[in-house]
Amino acid sequence: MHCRECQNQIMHYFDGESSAARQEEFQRHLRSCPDCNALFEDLRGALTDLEALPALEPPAELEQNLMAAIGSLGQTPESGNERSHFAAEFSAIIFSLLTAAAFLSLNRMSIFDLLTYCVGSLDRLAGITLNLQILFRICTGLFSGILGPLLRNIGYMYLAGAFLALGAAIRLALRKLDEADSWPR
Amino acid sequence: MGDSDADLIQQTLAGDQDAFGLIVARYKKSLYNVIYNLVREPQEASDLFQESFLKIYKSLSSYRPEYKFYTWAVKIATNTCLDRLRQKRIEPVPVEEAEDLPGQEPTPEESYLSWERAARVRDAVRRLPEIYRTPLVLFHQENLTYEEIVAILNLPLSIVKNRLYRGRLMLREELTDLGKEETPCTVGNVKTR
Repeated sequence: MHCRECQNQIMHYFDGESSAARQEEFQRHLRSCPDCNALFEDLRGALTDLEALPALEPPAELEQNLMAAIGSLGQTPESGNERSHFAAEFSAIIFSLLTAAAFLSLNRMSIFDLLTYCVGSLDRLAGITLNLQILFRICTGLFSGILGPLLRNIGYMYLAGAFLALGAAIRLALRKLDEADSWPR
Repeated sequence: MGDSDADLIQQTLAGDQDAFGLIVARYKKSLYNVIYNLVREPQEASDLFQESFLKIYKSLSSYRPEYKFYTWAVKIATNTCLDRLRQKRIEPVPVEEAEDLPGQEPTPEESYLSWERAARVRDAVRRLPEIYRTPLVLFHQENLTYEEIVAILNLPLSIVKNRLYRGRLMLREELTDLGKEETPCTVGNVKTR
């Protein structure tokens, strides 16, 4: 083992990621290399000291001041973001449904397509993941794609599909936003 | 005994501020130490403690139970501290002043680590640039995993590892410089994971 590799192994050791075999190899190197051994011992001493630092007690008045500040807010924690995202997502679903219904009525599409849109819009409420939703749409899209030419104008199907894709994209973006909000800066 | 974090959060969201008081009591020490270890300035740490917990309270509705509450709270506290450090460019407190900090009197646990050495280590950490100090504190003092640190700092794993690597080397240099005229560090059993 070379010194550079040994130094990486030292870091893996302190990460707790060093395998037994690698440890044995780098311990052998440490015994034969004073420089690497000094680095290892220095780091071990420094990190041991760092980890042994006693935890500090927060000043007693901090908690009281904090609770007083929270009491003075006079409100429960905000849930505005959640509500606004839910409202936006709900609006996206309604918009998607209305648009699809308009195309259906204009182009005499089958009830099967309407059900597809309804289930696709309701599936979020049933907790189906986005991947399953996409898979579901591909499957139903293929199925209706085979029967479609017999029943309706394919061009309008693609257009309605584009609206659904737009709805899915909006919902994905909203989910990402929700996720980001759960890790506020 | 005691409600889970998720229960307390639900109760808080339902308007029970006492439930949030229990959350504060549960995590005040851990979060105060995270904050103090990052800013190393007692008055600033107290302000940031209050600011962080207020942020936690206000954004409680966006907390998702699939994440560990402590990690989520540390992220808020860490970001609050880093924002403040960047805004104000907080200067490190000289070690002589640091020794007068509240709650820093020698404790029985410090029988292992002498008071002087603890002060020396705190001073060495305080001297590190913030980008190296933060992962070092989160990993070695708060015992967070790489995965948690990546989530907290919003940085790629490779950068977190690199900064921790460099932070350790810089800490070693600081301690070597500080300890030249003192007794060398004794070798203990550092925690490994």
